[in-house]
Amino acid sequence: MKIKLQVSGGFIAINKESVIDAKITDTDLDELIAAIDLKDNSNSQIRDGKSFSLIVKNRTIIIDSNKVPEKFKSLFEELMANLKYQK
Amino acid sequence: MCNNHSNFNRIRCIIPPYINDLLMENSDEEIAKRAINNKLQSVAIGARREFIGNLKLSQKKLINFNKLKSQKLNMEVYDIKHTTDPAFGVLLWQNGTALHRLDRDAKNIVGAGTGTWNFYHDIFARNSIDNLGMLLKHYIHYGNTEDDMNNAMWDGQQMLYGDGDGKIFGSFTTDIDIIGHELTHGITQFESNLDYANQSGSLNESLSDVFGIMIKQRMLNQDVNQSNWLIGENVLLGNKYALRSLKAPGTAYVNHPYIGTDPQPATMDDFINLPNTPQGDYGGVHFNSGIPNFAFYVTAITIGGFAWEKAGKIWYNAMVDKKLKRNATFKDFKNLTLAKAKALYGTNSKEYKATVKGWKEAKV
Repeated sequence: MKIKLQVSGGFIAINKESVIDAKITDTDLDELIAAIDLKDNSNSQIRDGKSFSLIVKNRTIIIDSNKVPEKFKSLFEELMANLKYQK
Repeated sequence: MCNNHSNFNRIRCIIPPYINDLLMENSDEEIAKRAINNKLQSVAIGARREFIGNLKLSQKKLINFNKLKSQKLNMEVYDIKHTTDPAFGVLLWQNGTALHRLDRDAKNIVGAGTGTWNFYHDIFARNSIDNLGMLLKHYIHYGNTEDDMNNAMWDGQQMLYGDGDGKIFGSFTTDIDIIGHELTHGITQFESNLDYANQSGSLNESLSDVFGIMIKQRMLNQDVNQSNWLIGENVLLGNKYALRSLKAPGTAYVNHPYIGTDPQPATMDDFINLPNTPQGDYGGVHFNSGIPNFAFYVTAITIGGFAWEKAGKIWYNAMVDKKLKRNATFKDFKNLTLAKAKALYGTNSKEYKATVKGWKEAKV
C-alpha cells in the first residue's frame, strides 16, 4: 500500500514529501489513523507551525506526529528519512 | 483616594473623577492632556488597555507615556533540550539574571527579546504581548527532527526556536526580525486575532514581518534607506539568501538548490490562489503577505526617516483598532491605515499621501 507523508508550512511555507510502499493491512491502517488523526485543529493559535499529513487511499489526514504508536514507529522513521523538498 | 497616593497630584486630588472625565473632552489641549494622564494613572494596569482603546485618536496623542514607566520587562528564556515539550525546558535567564551559562542562542534571545519588548513599550506604550504585562517565554533548541529544528514559531502561548540543520538553515535565533515576528503573532492574537487563512492570514503574517523589520531597524538604528528590508537574512545559509524581502517580494532567494525561488508576489496582479489546507499554506498566508508587506515598504520609504516613527505608528494604530475584524481583507486593512493616517496627520500630509501611494503600488 502506497503511503505518502507531507510536511508543510513553517516560517516560510516549504513542502516536503515522502512516499513508501508499506506492508500494512487495512486494519493496521485504521488503527494508525485512529491514533494520530489530529481531527479538528481549526482553533489552533499556532503560527508558523509545521503540519504533517498522511495521504493514503485518496484520503488526506492531518496528523500529530508525536502520537505515532510504537508498532508504527519504524514505518514513520522510514517516511521521515525519505522526505524531499518540493520546490 | 488622594491621601493614599504618595505622588501627590493636585488636579487628581482636587477634582472629582466625574469632572476629570469631562475635562478629558476639553478643547484646551493642556487641560485635556492633564485630565487624560490623571485618569490613566488612576486606573489599574489591567484596565489600561481598555481605557486607552476607548480613547479617541486625538486623546491618545496626549498620553504621557513616561507615566507608564513603572512597567517592566517580564521575560524568561528556556533551553527545551531538543524536545518539543516546554515541560522539559530548563530556565536559563529570568528578567536580567542568568541562572546558567548562556550560549549564543540564549544571548541572541535575551538581546532581541528585550529589544522587542522595548520597541512596543517605548514607541507604542504597549506592556508586553497582551498589553497587561504578560510573561514572555522563549524556548531555544527546539525539536529533535530536521523539520522541527528548521523552524521558529508562536504556539499560542510562547515562542519556540530551532537550531537549524546546519545545511540549509542556521539557528532561528540569529535574526532579530524573526524573534520580533513571532512575538508580534502573539500581539495579533490578543488584538484582532486575525484568522490564519486566506487574506486575513496573509495580513497576520504581514504584520509580523512589518513589525519584525522595524524592531530590527530600531535595534540597529537604521532609517528606511539604511535598512535592507530583509527578513531572515542570516538563518537561510548562504550570503545571497534571505527568507523574505519587504522591498522586493519574490527576490529573497532565487534558484536555491533545495527550496527554489521565493514565491511572494508584491502586487494584487500576482495574488496566488491556494487552497485553505496545510499544503496550500492555508490559502497562501506566507505567500500573499508580500502584498501588504510591499504596501508598508512603499509607505515607509516615501515618508522617510525611521519607519517606526510614522509609517509604523499608522500601522500599529490600525493593527490594534477594534474595527479590524478577524476575517479582514487587504482592502479592509488598507482603509483602516488610511483612516489612521488621516486622523494622525490629515489628508494633505505627506504621511497620508504616502499611505495612499503604498497601497496603490501594491495594487490593493
